[in-house]
Amino acid sequence: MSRRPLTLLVLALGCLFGLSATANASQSALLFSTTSKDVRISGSGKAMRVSLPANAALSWFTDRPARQAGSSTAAFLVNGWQANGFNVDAPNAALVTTAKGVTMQTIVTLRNPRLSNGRVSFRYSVLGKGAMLGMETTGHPRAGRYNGELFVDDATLAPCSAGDNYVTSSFYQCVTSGVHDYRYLNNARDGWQTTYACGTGLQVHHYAVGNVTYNLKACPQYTAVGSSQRITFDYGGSFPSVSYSQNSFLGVPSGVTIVMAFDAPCGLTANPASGLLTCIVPAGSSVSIDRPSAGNTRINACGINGASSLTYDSTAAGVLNHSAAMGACDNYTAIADVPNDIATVVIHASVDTKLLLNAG
Amino acid sequence: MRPIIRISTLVTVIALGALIGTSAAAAAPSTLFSITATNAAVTGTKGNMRVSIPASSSMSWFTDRPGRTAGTATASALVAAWPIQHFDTDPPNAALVTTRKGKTMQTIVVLSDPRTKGRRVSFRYRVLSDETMLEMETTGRPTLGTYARASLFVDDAPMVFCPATFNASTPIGTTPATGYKCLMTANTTYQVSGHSPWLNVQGCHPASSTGGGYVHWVDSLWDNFDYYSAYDYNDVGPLPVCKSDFSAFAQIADEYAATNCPDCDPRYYSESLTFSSTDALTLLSTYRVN
Repeated sequence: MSRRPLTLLVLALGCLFGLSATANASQSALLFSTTSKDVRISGSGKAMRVSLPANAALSWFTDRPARQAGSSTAAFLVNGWQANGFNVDAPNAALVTTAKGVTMQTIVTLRNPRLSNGRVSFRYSVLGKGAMLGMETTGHPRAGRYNGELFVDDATLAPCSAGDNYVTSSFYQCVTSGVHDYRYLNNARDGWQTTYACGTGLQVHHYAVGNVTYNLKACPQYTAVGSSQRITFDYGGSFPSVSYSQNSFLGVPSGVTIVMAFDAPCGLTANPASGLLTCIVPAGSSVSIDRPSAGNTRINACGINGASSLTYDSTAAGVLNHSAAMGACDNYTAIADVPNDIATVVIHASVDTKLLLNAG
Repeated sequence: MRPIIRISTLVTVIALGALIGTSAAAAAPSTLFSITATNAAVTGTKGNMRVSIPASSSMSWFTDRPGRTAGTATASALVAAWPIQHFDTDPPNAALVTTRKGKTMQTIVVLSDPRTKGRRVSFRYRVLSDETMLEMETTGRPTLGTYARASLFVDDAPMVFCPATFNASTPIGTTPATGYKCLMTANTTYQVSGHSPWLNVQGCHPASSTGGGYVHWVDSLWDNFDYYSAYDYNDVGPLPVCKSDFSAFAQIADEYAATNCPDCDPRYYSESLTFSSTDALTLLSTYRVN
């Protein structure tokens, strides 16, 4: 049996995982720093685990040149594990442990996350002898309790902030962690902002219609879970507060990816039957477009955060990774046509990109 | 048949996209630093805060996934490498963790203006935002004064420090600019192995680092009985100051295993180049000469 189809399938699945871990361009790569007075090392040999309280304070911040930061709890490291692609490509981390005035620093790879009994834990392997710094002692930390710190690279999706109002531009993406009240307030644009989510299950309380449970699709196939009208500073405090509380996420399973945007994320494929379709391609992800109806489908694009460029593959034009400039939104630039029923164009977005597909 | 054609086309194109994405990500892993200091001092005034730590504070570095490379250096090496990591034009974000009297605070900051004074290094810092500060057992940002312990977790540098041993059998390119590049710290021994068939090693020293020293290298051979031979050795220096286009590299050593050991059976012998430098920091490039 030829192994090629299997190879292609594996690569395609790899791409799907990559897509599911896509971030806002403005969020770039994220790093996590968590500190606890109750870090526990257990196990022996190659079966070492490190655990800390699930509610230990966690800071996240972006790689330069972005300057974004926020806070959550250590539980997010487990709840956001899959959304950040750590299940496919495990994160490296610096593990700093202090006991009886002695500090050690070890570089490890974290795997096998668990969340139980109010604690998160990870199996870890030491990256190499050269990675271990014996500061006041030599050797790796033994089983025991420590004051500890974990510094973890290199995620793509930030945790949603509980109880906060999001003041977004036109597009915001984050991962939920636990049951919280997620509300948002948008003051950036006219119109209604829609919240989309992917993952496993989601219970949303709509103030107008009550609780609704959504059976979400696997990421990055998003489902609209509610809309909310914009609040402007012009309205000030006189605007009814219920309007921006229309989406209160009551029962949020861990790891659900939430996108707040004016237009739906494109998902893996976008095929307008006829007329116009507008959707968003998050930075770092791709969308495949073919032509289910008669005539051409023209692909127009604009950069959500300003003029930029994208690349595309076109089976009709016979090009791969072809670069095309695009204007700022909503000044669309014609990118490519999908002219026949077996042609496909795959758009690769390096920045948050909005597509306008004109079929007919 | 039409849907099958479409699905296969889609899978092929997505797979190609995945390949492209993978190769791009693998080409440029970034390096992160974790510094742990046995004491720290926070000084300055609002808008001009500085944190200082011993220059000899231990620093671990490691690459972003999927890279799995790690090593050690000191905080002074981070200061010396500041411009070559482009931290002078695009300063790094960092988590600053301070501990005093058993109480720990964690703050996200931007580090800039590194300085060395005596046996200490210091950085100016500004807090990214109030939201980023986690009040853990105390409230407020770190106040002026000394701390019993401090950690700095620093993103996101393009240049790795040299691992204690590294394999150059598949260098990235065939010129100093495209070769495997890493930073050597002073008086540390590094071993390059696995090269084939011909390896050039060139170096320069960053302008921010003390220069004028030399690189000592030894061409070494081990057999399977741990018999050691030093074929050749030399001191090269002083090295030129690094330029951004890497045109300032000086030749340090070259190696052609088959010439040096024509009778060697690779099943029983291994050959490597060993380096150490007296300069505080040396940028090394190893590349293959075809």
